Amino acid sequence: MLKKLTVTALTLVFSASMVFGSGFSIYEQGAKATAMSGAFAAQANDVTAIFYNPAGITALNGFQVGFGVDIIMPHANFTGPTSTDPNLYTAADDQTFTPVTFYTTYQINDKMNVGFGFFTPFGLGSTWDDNWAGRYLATNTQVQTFFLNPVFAYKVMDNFSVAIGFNYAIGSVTMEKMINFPVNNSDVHSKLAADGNGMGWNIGLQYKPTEEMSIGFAYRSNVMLKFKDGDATFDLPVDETDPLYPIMRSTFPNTKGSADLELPTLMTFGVSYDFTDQLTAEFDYVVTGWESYDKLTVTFDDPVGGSTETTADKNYQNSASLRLGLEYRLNDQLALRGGYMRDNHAVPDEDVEPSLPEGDRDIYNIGFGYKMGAITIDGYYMLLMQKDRVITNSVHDFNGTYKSVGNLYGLSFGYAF
Amino acid sequence: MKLINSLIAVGIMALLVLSGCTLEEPAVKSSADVQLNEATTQMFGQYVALGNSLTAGYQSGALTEKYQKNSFVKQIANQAGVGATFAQPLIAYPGLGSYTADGAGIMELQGFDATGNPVINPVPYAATSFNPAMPYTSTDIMSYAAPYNNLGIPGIVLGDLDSAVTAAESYSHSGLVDPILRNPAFGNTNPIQQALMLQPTFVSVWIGNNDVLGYATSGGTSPAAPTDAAIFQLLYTNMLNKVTSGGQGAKAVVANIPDVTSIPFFTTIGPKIAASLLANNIPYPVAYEKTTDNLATGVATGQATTDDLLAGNTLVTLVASSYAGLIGQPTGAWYRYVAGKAGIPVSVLLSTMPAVDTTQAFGLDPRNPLPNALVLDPDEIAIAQQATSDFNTAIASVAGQFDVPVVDMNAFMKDLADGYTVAGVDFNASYITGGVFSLDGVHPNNVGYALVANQFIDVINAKYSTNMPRVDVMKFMKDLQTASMSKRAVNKTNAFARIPELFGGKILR
Repeated sequence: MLKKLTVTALTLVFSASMVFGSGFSIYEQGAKATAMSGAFAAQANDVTAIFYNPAGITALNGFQVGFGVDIIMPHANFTGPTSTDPNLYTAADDQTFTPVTFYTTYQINDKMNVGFGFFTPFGLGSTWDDNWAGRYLATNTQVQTFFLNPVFAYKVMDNFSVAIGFNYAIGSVTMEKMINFPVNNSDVHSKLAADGNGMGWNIGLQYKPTEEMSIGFAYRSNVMLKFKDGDATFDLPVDETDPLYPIMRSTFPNTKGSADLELPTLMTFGVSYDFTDQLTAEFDYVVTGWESYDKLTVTFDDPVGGSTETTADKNYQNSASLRLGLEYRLNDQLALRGGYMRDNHAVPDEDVEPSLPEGDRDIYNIGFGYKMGAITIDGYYMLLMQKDRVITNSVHDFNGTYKSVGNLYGLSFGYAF
Repeated sequence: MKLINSLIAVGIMALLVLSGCTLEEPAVKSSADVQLNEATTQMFGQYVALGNSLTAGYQSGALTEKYQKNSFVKQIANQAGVGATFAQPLIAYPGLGSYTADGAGIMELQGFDATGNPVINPVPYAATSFNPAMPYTSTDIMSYAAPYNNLGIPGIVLGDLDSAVTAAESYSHSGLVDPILRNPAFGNTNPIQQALMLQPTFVSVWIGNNDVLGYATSGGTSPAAPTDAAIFQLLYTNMLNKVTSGGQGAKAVVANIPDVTSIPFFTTIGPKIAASLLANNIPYPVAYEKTTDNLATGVATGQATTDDLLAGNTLVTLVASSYAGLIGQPTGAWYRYVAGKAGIPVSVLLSTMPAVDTTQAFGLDPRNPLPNALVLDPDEIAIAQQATSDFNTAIASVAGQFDVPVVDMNAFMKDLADGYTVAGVDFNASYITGGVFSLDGVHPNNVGYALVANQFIDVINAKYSTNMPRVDVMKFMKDLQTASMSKRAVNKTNAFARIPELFGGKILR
């Protein structure tokens, strides 16, 4: 009877986040690489190679560790929806995210290295006011993923290395939005909070045809994150003494929700070239296989709005980014870096909604590296300028303009024992 | 040297850290209110609305002030800046409507039963100080000196616009003719005459729905056929001729008729019966009484498979909600209801239909079928749809003749049935949960009427160069969030039975 309510008003969607790679991927997993706009799969010459291209760790001697922290400060706003007021301006709440990374590598012998990485390749979040015009689409959306990634790398030849890794992923997601209860037009606050996990694999290849040139290829598989028995809670606008309470509570019982979320593949191809002893340039092409995220189905233990299942179309598309990075080594201690990247959107225009106000981006990076004996410090600043995204054909009739910029800062500390 | 370089680099970083880029806030954060142009203020100098229950602002089986204030024509008047002077025949709570003869008003939702079905009942007058003989919200409304600007009269058919004077002197015999036209005080005038008395500059007319709804909601029984298409065209021509030539040469807008078979009144129960049969592995089709059957001489011949019910090839009306749960049981509940209404013993009623055996499985055995009045079978659906299509052809042609724009409510209803989204809110034509229909399953709710108003506003603006803003549905929904529930409704055996009577012209006072 109440099925439509679930399907429509109650699409408790795992959409997710304000993003820094297309969709909600985060490619910023090392300060050295990020200072060069992530063009690092060919160089892959520090411990963060475990993420960017694990074949690169065959060049790392002994036992090394790296620890990194990023400070991610996005700003986003929306003007619209045009069917309400084309000039209505709403800014998303500013949030700061501080994902951390940890890497370690160990050289078993001349041919073999093992490594382990901990990083967060997907995630972030968006928060809008509970009363804002898009409250039926999204108010608060937070997604976090943690990857535990042991790798094994093998030097086939002096100039050719391969690597393979296993990924165990842990995810947590919180999605909040309003649902309109049509009987009296009151707003019910819905929240789905769930934890899940999944597994995947990754490989890397690195080939150095000449002394100056390096070619890297890396691939990460899909990871099916299985969210089980999350808490679906509904805050009603009336208290238990209200005659409406039993009706609304039976419509929106607090229950458990489960869902599968297939994270995309990540494929990177990079070429680097040492123009001089001091100057290295790299170009990378990265494809994120977002087509894995075409719909999202949430199942409930008890019927919510009369239905135990709700499906939302996501229709993400594969997206590609072009990354160009430079490193200039002033001396043995200090290197300066910079980069530019163009990142293309994964969400089609008609499906863009405010939980994930993504778009095409121009991204500029600068950074430095400083080496003091066994200690390495790398830092970067990243400016993300998203092209204004004007939506006129939203399937949600939520047309308007999304604007976003982001400032990211990061530091990595490395130690070679 | 190294140190200096490092310091420079760190310094640059620090500066950037402190100065991170941010987004500029716009100077304009929302639009200023629309200044209505001259075309709007002139055309809405005197706005009159003609029509049926949809124009009146009828919801959940009754007409009452709580919902009349959100009638789509009042919302249009508000957007045109004339809402304050747009007079409506406001009826006190719980209102006049389908249950007035039973001593009750508006339907209210009381909850959901153990099986998840909504419990809906009308609010009895006994629980309120409501007096059906003096139903207005105030004596000012009752004795308002001019005809009301909103002359929408629930239950009336097209032919009533130029002829209904009282409930008795009307085709539809709608009990609401009297409190709205207030004859003989207004000189025994009909709706069009009262509209013209107001010297209108603009008239909206949405009429003709009941010319097919009465047939359809009664399962093709009362009346036994929709209004004849040729007569409809004649009446419509006459109506628009009078409306546009009288008064100040009023400009006008009309609307066509939605396909009645996609309203929740018809689409809710059939699929539910099918789901129940499938869930219980009952392999038999539903047996129903066709119009051509005669239960005095033979068993029912109508059959509908679960596929038919799920696909809407055969429609079961919302009136059957009280009986759907009895399918498969030996029951004579329907005949007890009919006999009770007629004031005769059920044995007397059943003696007139010897083919009926209420000890057989209700709705599955042709000896105890779903009654004709609860089913719109494929033949009847075709008749209703043909009538709707004929009426809409007539409306388009006549309106074209008078250069009057037509709001395509038929297309809008189709959009709604497919799912209709406004600013991130999804609506559809589902009963209760679709968000646009009121509890009677036929009339829109507040939001539904706002969406209707916007359809009219778009067409009016496009035709007459007016610049009324659309109703802001999001804001409207926000403003509505104060509604609370009443516990005054009482249980009745069949809360939906009175609904079709509105369209069969049997609203009593």
